[in-house]
Amino acid sequence: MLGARIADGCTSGHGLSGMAQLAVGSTVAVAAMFAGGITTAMLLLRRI
Amino acid sequence: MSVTLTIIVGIAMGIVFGFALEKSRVFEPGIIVGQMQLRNFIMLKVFLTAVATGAVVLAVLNGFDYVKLQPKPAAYAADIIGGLLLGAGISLAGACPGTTLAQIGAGYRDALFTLVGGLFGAVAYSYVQPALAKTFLGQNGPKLIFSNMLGAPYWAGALVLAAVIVVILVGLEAWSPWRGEMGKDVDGDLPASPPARKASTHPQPAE
Repeated sequence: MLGARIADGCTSGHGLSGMAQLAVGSTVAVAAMFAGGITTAMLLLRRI
Repeated sequence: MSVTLTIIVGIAMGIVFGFALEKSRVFEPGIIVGQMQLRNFIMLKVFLTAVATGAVVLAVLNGFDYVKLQPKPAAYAADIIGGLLLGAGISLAGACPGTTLAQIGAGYRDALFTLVGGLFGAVAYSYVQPALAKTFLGQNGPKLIFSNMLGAPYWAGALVLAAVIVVILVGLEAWSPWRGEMGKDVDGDLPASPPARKASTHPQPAE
């Protein structure tokens, strides 16, 4: 949530509302969310 | 709109959103973590579907001047750093801010702790915000939208986006059909090893 507030929006705010409005910043934020999530999953979570 | 009407509309839309989120199964931690591990793609598919639907609805509403767009400012540094942090949190918690609430509603007790942790994070931001505002993270960007950059009307851009997403979705679905991605208990918890996979009577994703 610290991240969500720094980015000024979460998956719903940037992802759903922002991308549907073609907002450039929201698209960048969503790309960063997936990048951060996938990197964390690859580094820290066991691949079962 | 009066305050009462705003609250009533908000509650009604929240119920619709929560119902759809539950039915889409995207609130399941197994689906969210599975997406981040690239084991299943339900979350991406539902997410893209929601964006395309939203874009078409907004194209009509904005095209006929019923609503104004309210895009967030493009503050790239904050978007990237905040997005990376949020993504890491989503992977670790198996929930994003909206799905935490759906998980609580569906009876996942550990989601209560995700909510408490999230609230602590939001409070922590309030304390560091004055300091962050002085750094590059405090910069405010222009309210840029793609269609304006290309000199096209919003509704045209939104319809193009929706069409592109539909093509991507058809491709994703052909590559990895959703039935194989749900798992036995429709929670995204896929069988671990290839032998277990063969024993399952459910169709499996083509990987």
